[in-house]
Amino acid sequence: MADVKARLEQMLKDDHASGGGGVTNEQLKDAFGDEFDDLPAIINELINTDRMELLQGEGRTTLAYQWIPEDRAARLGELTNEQRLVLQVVERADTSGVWLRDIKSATSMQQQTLNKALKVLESRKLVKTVRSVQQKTKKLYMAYDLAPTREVSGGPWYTDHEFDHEFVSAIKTVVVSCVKALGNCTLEDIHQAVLGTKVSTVPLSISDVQTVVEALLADSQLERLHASDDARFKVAKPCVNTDWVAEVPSGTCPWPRCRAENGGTCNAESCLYLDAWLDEAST
Amino acid sequence: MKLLENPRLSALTAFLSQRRLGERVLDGRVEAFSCKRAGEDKKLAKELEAQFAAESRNSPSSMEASSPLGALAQPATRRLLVDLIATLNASFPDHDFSNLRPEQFCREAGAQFAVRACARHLAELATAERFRAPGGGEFLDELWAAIEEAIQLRECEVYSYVPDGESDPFSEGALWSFNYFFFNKRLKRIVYLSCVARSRQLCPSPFSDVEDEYRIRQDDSQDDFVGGDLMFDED
Repeated sequence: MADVKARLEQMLKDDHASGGGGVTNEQLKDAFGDEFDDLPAIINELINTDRMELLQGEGRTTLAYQWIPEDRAARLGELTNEQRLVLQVVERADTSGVWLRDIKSATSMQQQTLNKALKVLESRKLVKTVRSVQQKTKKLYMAYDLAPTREVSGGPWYTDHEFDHEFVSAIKTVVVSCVKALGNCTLEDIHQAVLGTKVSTVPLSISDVQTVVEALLADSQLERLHASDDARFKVAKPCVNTDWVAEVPSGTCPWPRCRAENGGTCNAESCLYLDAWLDEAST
Repeated sequence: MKLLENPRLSALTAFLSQRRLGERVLDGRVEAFSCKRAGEDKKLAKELEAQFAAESRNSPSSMEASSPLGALAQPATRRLLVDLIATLNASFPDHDFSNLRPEQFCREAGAQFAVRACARHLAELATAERFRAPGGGEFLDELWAAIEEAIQLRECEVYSYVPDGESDPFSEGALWSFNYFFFNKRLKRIVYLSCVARSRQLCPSPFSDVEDEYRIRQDDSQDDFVGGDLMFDED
């Protein structure tokens, strides 16, 4: 029996060490064969002493068992059942974070009890509060060790959860000058060039650069040469200034004075308004 | 901010919580707070003062500019901002308004705007037979009488939070909403009145933030109004 337990523990530890994501029932059956029936009692004992946990829930089609390392086991052991339930809900939300109200409905706990549980979990460094750029006023919680997703933190374009206009403008200028220097180039070329300038203290991924390129396309500062994945980009010719179009007179003369002075009619040759406009246009 | 016990306001809040009105569900509350600062509020005040100090070092001229709450350079303005934010945090415990800027509030010329907004949006409730104030009388009369008793409207400055259209309690799925802070400087008290209307389809489950004694018992009837015994279920 002790041997079976030792082998099970080793299997779990190995899986955990290699980041395996848990050991399934199928894997246990294969590994233990006839001795599989001895496992439930051992599994129960390990779960009750916080040495392993059952992973289930969203995104998982099968149950899996995972090893719990000693320090985490110790921290879990200090928690009440309520606190463990709250921790479970928060951890299940992974890197997106979970809204306080959703924790409340998932655990059916009262506001006061829930707040106390969260305070304990925060002080034990098991959860932390997070701010999301998309949900500015909601109180979000996340497991302590996780980094928030791009959606939550806003990625490189947000500083202190505010959109950083200056930074984005600066990067746009850099991209345009890179494209100008390179001539006809692909997104990868642009990405490499931008990284080469070392203008950004935060790392910019190729999709970040793509976002900037798309903004510049919309601004008519860049042109795309093929509408495909390996598209090439070049600097667009500056847009022709068409402000003057609004100034051209329409066919109808707006000055009654003109008709009066021309004996009741106005034509292109005698129109005073057109004369005045041409004078202005020629200066 | 400390929530002040007030049976008349509690009864009104209970009536406005999860109040079904045809195809809409209202979530309203009217609460009185004392401007006494609790632990969290003191932290908030400290953070805001630090932020203000940093901003005034970076751009001294911006501090002289006035905001809807007054000039930020004035300590009274900053105190008011903290009080308004703390009120929102106390009224909506699932939200954290600590990062609000003064520009996200506006000052109303007087209480009459609030009275009109209420009358416009809650006219249907005005004649609801289900609501019986302790002294008799209709809903809107009782609402303003209770608020007057709590805060003396004539002395009050009136402010409103402008919803950000994203994630605050007045934005998600809201058909309409209003919210008013009645701030009595002398009494150091704020009465906060707010109401949001959402479509019935959006509200399968209770989303009220308030404590249990305010919660209406959900019954299975298809009636638009919860039974008239509501007012007497309070403990």
